[in-house]
Amino acid sequence: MKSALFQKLLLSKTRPGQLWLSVIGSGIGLCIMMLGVQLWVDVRALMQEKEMLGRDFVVISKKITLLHTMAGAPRFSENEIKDLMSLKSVDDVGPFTPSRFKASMSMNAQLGGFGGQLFKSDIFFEAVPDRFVDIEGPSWQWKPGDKTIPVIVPSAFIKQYNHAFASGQNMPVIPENLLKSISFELEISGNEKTDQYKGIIAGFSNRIQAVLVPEHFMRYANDRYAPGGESQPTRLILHADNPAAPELLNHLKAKEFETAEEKVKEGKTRLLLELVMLLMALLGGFIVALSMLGFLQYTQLLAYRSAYEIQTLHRLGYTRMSMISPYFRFALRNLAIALVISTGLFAMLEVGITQLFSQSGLNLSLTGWPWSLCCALITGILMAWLSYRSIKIQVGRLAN
Amino acid sequence: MQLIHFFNIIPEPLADSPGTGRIWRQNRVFFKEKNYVILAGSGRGKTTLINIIGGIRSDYRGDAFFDETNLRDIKPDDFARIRATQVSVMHQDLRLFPELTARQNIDLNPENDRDAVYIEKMAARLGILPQLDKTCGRMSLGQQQRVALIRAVVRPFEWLLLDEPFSHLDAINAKIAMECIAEIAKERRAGIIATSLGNTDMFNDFEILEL
Repeated sequence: MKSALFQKLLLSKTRPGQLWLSVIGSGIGLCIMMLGVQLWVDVRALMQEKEMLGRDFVVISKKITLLHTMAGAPRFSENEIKDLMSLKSVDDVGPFTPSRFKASMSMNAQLGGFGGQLFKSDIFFEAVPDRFVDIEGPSWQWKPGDKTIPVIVPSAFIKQYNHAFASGQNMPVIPENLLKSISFELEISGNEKTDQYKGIIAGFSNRIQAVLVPEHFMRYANDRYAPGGESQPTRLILHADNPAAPELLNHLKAKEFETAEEKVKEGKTRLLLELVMLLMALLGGFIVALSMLGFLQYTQLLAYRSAYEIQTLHRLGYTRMSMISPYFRFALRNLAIALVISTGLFAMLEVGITQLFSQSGLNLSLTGWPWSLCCALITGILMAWLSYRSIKIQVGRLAN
Repeated sequence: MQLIHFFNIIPEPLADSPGTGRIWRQNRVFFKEKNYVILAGSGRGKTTLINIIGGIRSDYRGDAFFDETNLRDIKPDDFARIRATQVSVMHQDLRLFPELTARQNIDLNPENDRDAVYIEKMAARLGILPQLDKTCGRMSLGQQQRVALIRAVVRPFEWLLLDEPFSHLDAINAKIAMECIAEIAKERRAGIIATSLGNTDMFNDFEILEL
């Protein structure tokens, strides 16, 4: 009875309108934060599919016209490479070195009880300088004498094999990750020599048309099996922080160099998306901070309106500690309501977004929501702590 | 708590004035078995004195002690506990909650060691029994003063501090109130420190100290 009276006195000056405004405001603020976190996680996951040539690489070549049919693909001169290097948006340029020898690949499957040769095919190799390959450590190294060669395979190869070849020929389909653990036979010949090697798949890339081998091996093999060939490259690999930089695009256009359009478009989209996400994060952060400030101030104001009661109760012999707890419990209750509102709103929006995506044919799985819940929980705990601190300070100030 | 010891105390707001009386800037000991009435005109620091002992103000020079304990060393919450059980203060501005009834105001003491029957008897004696369940905001100042008085004495204390306790009472009611206070203080073997603007008629057996 006394404690009920005590609580009633301290919390008598609530204003329901203001209270609900601040609670719902915090709920919406939290919800925006949760959406932002989810978007961040999901969109990033979408854009960060593993790519062995790092994300910021562009492959360029020269346009092939009728004139070139007999003379072979047009090659890049030293000066053209220097020009590219001098561009501000280009950090690095490297040549693609093609193989001048004959190579074939065959796979002998011990896979699932299959015996014998699965298939055999002529292939060709390319090499880029090692610094352009996004594989760390010894798995991308080769030295003369090694019989095992690491390779990076165009993703398209696997899709071709699995979807067109294997299903047509009654061969087992092989998932990408399993393929990495399989080795295959390589037969390399030229200059009246023929050697057997073992190939190991070190990774896959969307941006190459031929099988990539380490630069060392390429140099060694070209010298050994086809000495004295052409050295100027027909294709170049560029490293650019922003593959969609206007300076780079204009230069490529002026020189009539071709690039994989897709990559440039992707770069533009990514830039725009990152900008939008950053803006949203900033805006979201601002709204969250503002709503949280409102939340903290509501409790402070409530205590302030009861300044006489706090001071008098303290004079009667109630400790500050005992007066903090009704306000803290009150703040905790409001915080819990705000969290419930935000989680409910978030869940509703989640369902809505999923439906919207599936209606527009986008098969995007939302996996970021546990992060959102985590962030909301952490913010809740932080808010509870901040509330406690601010109430403690406020009650202490008002008691005397 | 047997002694309250003032040693060379002067409140900051009065720091420029010389201590002419028997408390400010003096060495003064209050003994628990005795009663004191502090006599002074307005603005001489009567309320400040009550608030220093009650632990509500600490803006003073010099030192005050409860027995051996310097008041400055007592933390605010510890002082609150002292007020709840050892030092009961009746403030000049009464400090009631106007939206609560007299009974609720009294019940709101952190600790009460007198029951409802006792409270009603005392209210009857002071002539405010019919008002006990009315909200304090609707009472006259004299009635409110008696509510504050009851609230101050039904809680455990060793020292009772009364800041102009009869300022709104007529002579007859003041006399009755004084009797009640004296009885209960004697029961508890508590010391009383009261203040007054000038009238000391009610304060029999009190040592009169000019501020």
